[in-house]
Amino acid sequence: MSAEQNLESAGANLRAASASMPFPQMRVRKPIRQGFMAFAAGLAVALMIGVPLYLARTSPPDGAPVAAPGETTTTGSLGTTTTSVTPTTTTTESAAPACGTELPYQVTLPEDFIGPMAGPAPHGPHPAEDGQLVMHWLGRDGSVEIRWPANQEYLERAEWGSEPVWGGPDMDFALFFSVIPAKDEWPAEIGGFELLPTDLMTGPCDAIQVVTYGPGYDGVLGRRGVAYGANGVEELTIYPDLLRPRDKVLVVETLETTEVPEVVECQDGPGVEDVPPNKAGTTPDSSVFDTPEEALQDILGTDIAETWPNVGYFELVTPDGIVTYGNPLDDNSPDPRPDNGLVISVTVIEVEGGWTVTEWETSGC
Amino acid sequence: MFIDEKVHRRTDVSGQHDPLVSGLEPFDDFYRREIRRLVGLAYAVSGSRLAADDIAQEAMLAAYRKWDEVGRLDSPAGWVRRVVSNQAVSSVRRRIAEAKGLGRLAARLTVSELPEIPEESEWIWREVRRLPKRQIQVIALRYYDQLSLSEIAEVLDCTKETANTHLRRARQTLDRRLEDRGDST
Repeated sequence: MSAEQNLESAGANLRAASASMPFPQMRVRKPIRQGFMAFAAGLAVALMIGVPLYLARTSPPDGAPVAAPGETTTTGSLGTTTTSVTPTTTTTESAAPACGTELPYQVTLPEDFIGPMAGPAPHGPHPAEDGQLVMHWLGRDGSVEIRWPANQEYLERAEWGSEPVWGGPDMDFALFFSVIPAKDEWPAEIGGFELLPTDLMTGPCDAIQVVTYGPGYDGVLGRRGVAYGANGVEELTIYPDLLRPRDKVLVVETLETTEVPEVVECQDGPGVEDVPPNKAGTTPDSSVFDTPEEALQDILGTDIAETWPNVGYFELVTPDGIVTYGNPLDDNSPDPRPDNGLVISVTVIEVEGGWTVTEWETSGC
Repeated sequence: MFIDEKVHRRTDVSGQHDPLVSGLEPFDDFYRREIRRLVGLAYAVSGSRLAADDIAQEAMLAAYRKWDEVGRLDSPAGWVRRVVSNQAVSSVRRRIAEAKGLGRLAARLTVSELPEIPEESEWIWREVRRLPKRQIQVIALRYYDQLSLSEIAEVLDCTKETANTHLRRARQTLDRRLEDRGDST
């Protein structure tokens, strides 16, 4: 049978399966978006009756713990710590939090982060703005700061209703993210933020600003600028593999090898019956570059590599002169080695006039 | 714009959007009609039964929250299909959705999963998921959802020609793999 016949059959079987599945009840969650205008009106009233003065007297100083960390669990696969965030204070001296006194997310950070603590990150240059809920977490080399709503400067540049760059239309909150402009400018605000407005956003309270500061995180974000995933409206996860130390570079090391390690498949786990297969492709129309590294850099800028890391590749050279760039499975370990398996491989060969990418493979997850 | 000019808004003769005038479909009816197919589409693209349910639910939730707008599009179903196909093809999104699905399983909450399909069909869908993202989406929309090229182009916000190119290349690749499989068995 041809592919078309197989596809027709596979499509029909899947349609039959979906038609016969138990009816999925809609999991409606408590709406968390709060009308900004209503809050703004309330805020104006509060300002008029002097509430800010009362709040200023009762708010803890910046840097004081917001609340005792809640239940802490470690998820081995991600190596993260999940902390229930229950801040109850504002850090501004003149206004109550405009959007709420508790973040709408459960925030998950790498396990070596301490927090949350009230107020702006010590490495960051900006004081809290009126009505902003601000908190931060301290890591070994810097800090992660969350603001709700985002800084006015960013909000003014938001294109409400535009298609998200990162995130998705199923996210209730837009997320900002930024990168440090230069490695030696520390402490420095992370500039060049990525704005993530979703088409669901109706106002400032739909935007949370997430920024990292510190010398350790300037490689975090790199080309694409994303450093977290958002679990709908319930969780905000900052993955450790995206908080990369600054010494991470595009090509970590060049190794000569007789055999290139395989790209490992996604791991299954309890309840996971369906492990996505590896993805692979060829790039017959690749441009030619002066060096193999430039060829790698080129594919990293394409849609194919949308979710690939842009640092931490090993250059593996086989006796036949073929170069494979491999992103190791144990990329989060202190001493990652490609021998333990790869999650991404990019094959580059020498052709007339230079080097070109011929094929790539990634784990399916 | 996510809802772009190609997906024209439905208006009545007076140009107003009054639900009573323009006949906005109740969301519940839309949900009941579309949810199962959406789960199937999410599975076709993502390959994860756990993630498929979650991705479809998220898309429906998104539609629900702005139903006054989405419900007036020419094709609300096309809108949620675009959301699902984009989310399902994202590896990060899939990983998150699976984690959430596992969480619900752990909490013994209901997760509606697709029944098994014949292994031969599973094999084909696995091979489809090895294709480039756009090709996966086009194949799923064409052979699972039975959309025309014009409808696929609208859902994926591309031209009909582009959709056709993706479709042709995907089929060529799958034909080669079928040949390889035949050679090896």
